[in-house]
Amino acid sequence: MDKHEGKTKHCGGGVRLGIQAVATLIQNANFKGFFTGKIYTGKSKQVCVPGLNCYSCPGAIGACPVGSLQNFLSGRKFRFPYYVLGILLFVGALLGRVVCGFLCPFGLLQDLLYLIPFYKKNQFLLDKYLRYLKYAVLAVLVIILPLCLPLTPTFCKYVCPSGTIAGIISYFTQPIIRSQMGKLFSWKLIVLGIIVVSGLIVYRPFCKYLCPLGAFYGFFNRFALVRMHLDEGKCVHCSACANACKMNIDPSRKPNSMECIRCGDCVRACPKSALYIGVKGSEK
Amino acid sequence: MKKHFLIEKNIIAILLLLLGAGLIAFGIHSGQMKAVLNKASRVCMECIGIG
Ligand code: SF4
Ligand code: SF4
Ligand code: SF4
Repeated sequence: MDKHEGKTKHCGGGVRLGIQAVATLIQNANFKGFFTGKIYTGKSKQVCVPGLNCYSCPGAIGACPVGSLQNFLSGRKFRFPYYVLGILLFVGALLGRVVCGFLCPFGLLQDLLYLIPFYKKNQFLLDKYLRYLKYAVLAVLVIILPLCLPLTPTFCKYVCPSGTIAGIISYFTQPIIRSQMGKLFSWKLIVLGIIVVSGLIVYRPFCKYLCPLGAFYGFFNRFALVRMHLDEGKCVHCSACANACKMNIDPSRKPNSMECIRCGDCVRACPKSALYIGVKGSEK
Repeated sequence: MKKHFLIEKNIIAILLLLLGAGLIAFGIHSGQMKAVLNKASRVCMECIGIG
């Protein structure tokens, strides 16, 4: 049995789950869409949401930043994606991967999966190598291939599990769409299935190994306005924080690791209050 | 004094925020918000697995 045992140990974890749930509901507030299968077409869809939330989901009231980015890059006529890149840059500089810990619906889904009692194995040899895969996904499937293949958002088409969930909802609510589904949908179901099953065993496998958005926001963890701070004077190097981290980071050594999703488990576990997440210079 | 410290410790974030805001403004000016809405208000066949 793994040391984390799939539990959100502290009540602060419960607060985070609550915030994630509210964020997910707000981003998917077109509730009637879940019954009619019709997607929302209002003005709020001009704005990209911070996390991974497919715009083809009937509940979505905003645009997915990864889908929007690929749409610009794979357009018949190339247009530099100033607007989408600006949003990603702004959110990254403000929050870094706080988005992953608190705002992303697909992050919430994986947190819930890991709470299900099942065999847990969150640390294994390949883990550290697989982490690089998400940068390849970002570079190849989100940027290079959409630039080379017109009208082909490759990450959305072949991988994105958020899109597959939108597809499953459409499958049950829209008979016309159901009749068109074939091999590609089966492939996407297999990918989603692998992510879901591995999410029962490993904490957030999609975030760790595949998500291009997490990879992008990770670059900002060191500089973001909201980041983690370690008080070297207080830290006794007891490893309580490292043991609490389900992303397998030692925040007493790397408080701003690109892998950190800012869940705050380490902050709550530290017996010396040596860690905090916030804006440097604003503390009392 | 404190404000100074706050800016100094977060200078990279502040510069990136300004750059992000500038890109957003230029994108809106070039009509890219409409392009995002256009894509987001139709079912994306690739996303849902039809292709
Ligand atoms: S890594 Fe991706 S899927 Fe995971 S929480 Fe972050 S944005 Fe969402
Ligand atoms: S739990 Fe606190 S005191 Fe212990 S190693 Fe981590 S930061 Fe240092
Ligand atoms: S280092 Fe702390 S905040 Fe970051 S993922 Fe690990 S436990 Fe969560």
